[in-house]
Amino acid sequence: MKAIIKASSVISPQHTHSAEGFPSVINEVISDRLTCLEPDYRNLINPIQLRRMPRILKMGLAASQLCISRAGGVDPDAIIVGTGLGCLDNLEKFLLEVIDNQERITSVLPFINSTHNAVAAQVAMLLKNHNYNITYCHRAFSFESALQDALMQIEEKQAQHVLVGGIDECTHDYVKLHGYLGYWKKPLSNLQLLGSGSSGTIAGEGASFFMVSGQPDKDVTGIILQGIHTFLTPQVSDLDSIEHEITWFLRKCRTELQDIDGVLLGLNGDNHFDQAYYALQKGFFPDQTIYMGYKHLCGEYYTATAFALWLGFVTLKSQQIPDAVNLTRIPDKPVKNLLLYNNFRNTEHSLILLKNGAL
Amino acid sequence: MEELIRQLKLDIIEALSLEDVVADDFDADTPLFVEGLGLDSIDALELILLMERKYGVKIEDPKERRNVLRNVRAMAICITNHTNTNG
Amino acid sequence: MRPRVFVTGVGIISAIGNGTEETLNAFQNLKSGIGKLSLFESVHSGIPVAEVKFTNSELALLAGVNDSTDKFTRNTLLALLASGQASADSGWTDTAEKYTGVVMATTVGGMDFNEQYYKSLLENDRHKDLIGVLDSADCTEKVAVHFGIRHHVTTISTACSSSANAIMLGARLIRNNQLERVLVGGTDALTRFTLNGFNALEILSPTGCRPFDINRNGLTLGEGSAALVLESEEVADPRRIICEVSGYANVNEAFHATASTVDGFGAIMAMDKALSSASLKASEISYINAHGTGTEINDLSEGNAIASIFGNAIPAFSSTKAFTGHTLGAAGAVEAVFSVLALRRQILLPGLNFKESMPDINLQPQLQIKSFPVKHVMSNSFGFGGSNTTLIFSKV
Repeated sequence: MKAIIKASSVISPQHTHSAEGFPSVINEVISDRLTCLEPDYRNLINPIQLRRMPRILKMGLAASQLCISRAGGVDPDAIIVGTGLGCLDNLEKFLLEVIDNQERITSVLPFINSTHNAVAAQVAMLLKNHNYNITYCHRAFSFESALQDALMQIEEKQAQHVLVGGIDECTHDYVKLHGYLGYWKKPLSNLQLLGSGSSGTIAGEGASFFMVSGQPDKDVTGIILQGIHTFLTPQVSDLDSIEHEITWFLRKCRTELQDIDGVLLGLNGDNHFDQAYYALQKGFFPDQTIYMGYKHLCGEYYTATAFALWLGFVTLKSQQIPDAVNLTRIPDKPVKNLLLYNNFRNTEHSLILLKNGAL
Repeated sequence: MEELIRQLKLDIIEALSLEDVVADDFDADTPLFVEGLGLDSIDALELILLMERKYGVKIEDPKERRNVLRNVRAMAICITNHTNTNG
Repeated sequence: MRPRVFVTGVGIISAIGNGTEETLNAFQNLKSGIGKLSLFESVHSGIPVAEVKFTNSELALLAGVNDSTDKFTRNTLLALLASGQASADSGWTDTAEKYTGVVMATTVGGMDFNEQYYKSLLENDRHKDLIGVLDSADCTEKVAVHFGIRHHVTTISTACSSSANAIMLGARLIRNNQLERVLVGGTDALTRFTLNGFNALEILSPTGCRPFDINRNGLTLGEGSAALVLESEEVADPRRIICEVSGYANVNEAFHATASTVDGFGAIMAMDKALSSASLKASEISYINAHGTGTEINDLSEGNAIASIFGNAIPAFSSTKAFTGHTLGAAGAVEAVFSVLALRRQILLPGLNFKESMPDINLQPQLQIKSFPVKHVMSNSFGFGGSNTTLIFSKV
């Protein structure tokens, strides 16, 4: 099952929303969290609808609209969203009203918005789109599940163009609670995140949308989504099982390990969880593999791999690996096959294979 | 009454997050729903909650609701009547 | 080759019983599970709800959970219980023998713990062990761990259509040769969060829901979990096959965040598309398990849609929500299990609390359990956000 990525649109802690390519300026922040740089929503969303929307809805809608317009205004045959936490801010708001106000509710809107499928539903409503519409909310598999479903829709010929998104917001309470579990580093520059040699990472958020389309038989150019694979290692994730899964996946995609030109790693600066990536670099991937990292730009969140997909997409299109994400000093070479590997706290692992069909 | 109307307008703007609307943009007789401010059924629920929580007025009958929420003046009259009845 | 998808096992826990036998007894005796709120304190304790009649400790015992049960949310315990029943029913002994995945669904996940411990968590880290179980994925991940499932593990959340969508995804994963077997289902525990949310929307019945009745006055919240084992025709043991997942459709009405259109446009699309996908004519449907929440809007909308699709030949139908309440994220799976039971036992299932039909539509739901040659069952699940999903199950 494969498809082409026709267009993308990302709202992130970097300057990514105004153009599709990699930004020329990197946003450096000293914090324990990265917050999105948002567009002026009034240019993208009707102000009458805007008023009722929590931030995450605005982000999702804006990113969707931009993506659709970059894909030539095509009406999606399916709208599929992955979000690990949904509209967390409004959920927290309503929850606190129930608890703090002894169930004296002053506003019903946060409850309506707290349903996980609010983003996908709003996009459909604005577009008057009656097609397949679904939301996945399984931690670091949320976006991958959405992408997998998109591929299946196309394979089944139920859809030619699928709007797929990965979106999560970071709230103050979320950071506080997960701080108890040692998730975060003390505030530091995001540019010092990778290889920082300490535990913890930096919290992030983002909205990344893609138009994924069926590949016409004759058209082999374009950035091809070759395959997706996820696996769970709930107890202890050992290197052997990770290598076995990667091997299995590449074989399924009819790709040799030696054909992988670059790997986008989900390193997040936590020296405990990053060990798995280092081990793969040392003993599994071929010597001339280019490695890229991205979580110093977007932070760690459940759908960060959607940001990674965008990065892979623009890299393959431009054939230029931005310095800000290049972890190796291998001389530039054509990048045809790019593997994305993410390992969320040694529990949820995902693999995405991208290919530049023109090379 | 004029003071209550002024306050109600501010309450409505706040409760419904009408960020681009100011009190001078509509008057006591501007229709709130469909035309005028163009509010909808979710807004109606929010306004009912506002009447109840802030002004202690509970309106359960759907017909009465449509009547009371038709504009700010009707809301103000309802609140004033309720206050007079209940001292 | 797209293999057919068979149901080989089911499990269910709801306000009307633990397991299929108790459930069928309730239908036989027209015994509703709706009653007084007892799970937690609330200013809305006068509103009828449909609770599962077990404490969390009892659920843990029934589910065979040995670990410290105070780390398992009610939501997850319900899911483990239903999944365990479904897997036993299917004769599943070894997960590794078939390429297996799991797709579960929920609307509020571990909210039952979240609302208990949230304030405390904001103040200090005493309950930090519970942070990891509060989200929507916990139920699925605990089920996956319990069965040793590692691939295609995911959770869907689309309000009231959630677990119908989980079943549809599971079926598609098999038909696309991504899996040989998949455990699908949904779960939702009753919470103050949902009770207050629906109360603020003013759609809760003060008396107990009366689906499709002219005097219906709102929905009744319920809780529960249901699970099904779906298998590819290439690996299914023929002796275990109960019925087939023969059709499905997911459409979006795109009309309003919480309400449906009067003419049931979204419901019509969903039912029509599901029939197409099953290559069935409307007249071939033996029984419809309606979404039928008992709200003024849904039942009118769905009623109009049923009349539109089926014309003069409306099959037997009922909403079972007057028995179980509206189990939200579990509803699609709960009612899918009811649909499967209808096929397995060749019976029509009853509704309750119906006296007089809505004006102009004249829909009379089935009011008694009845033996019937059931060939194809349609199950509707319509959720907030315009999410409309219809499933069709067929006799094999």
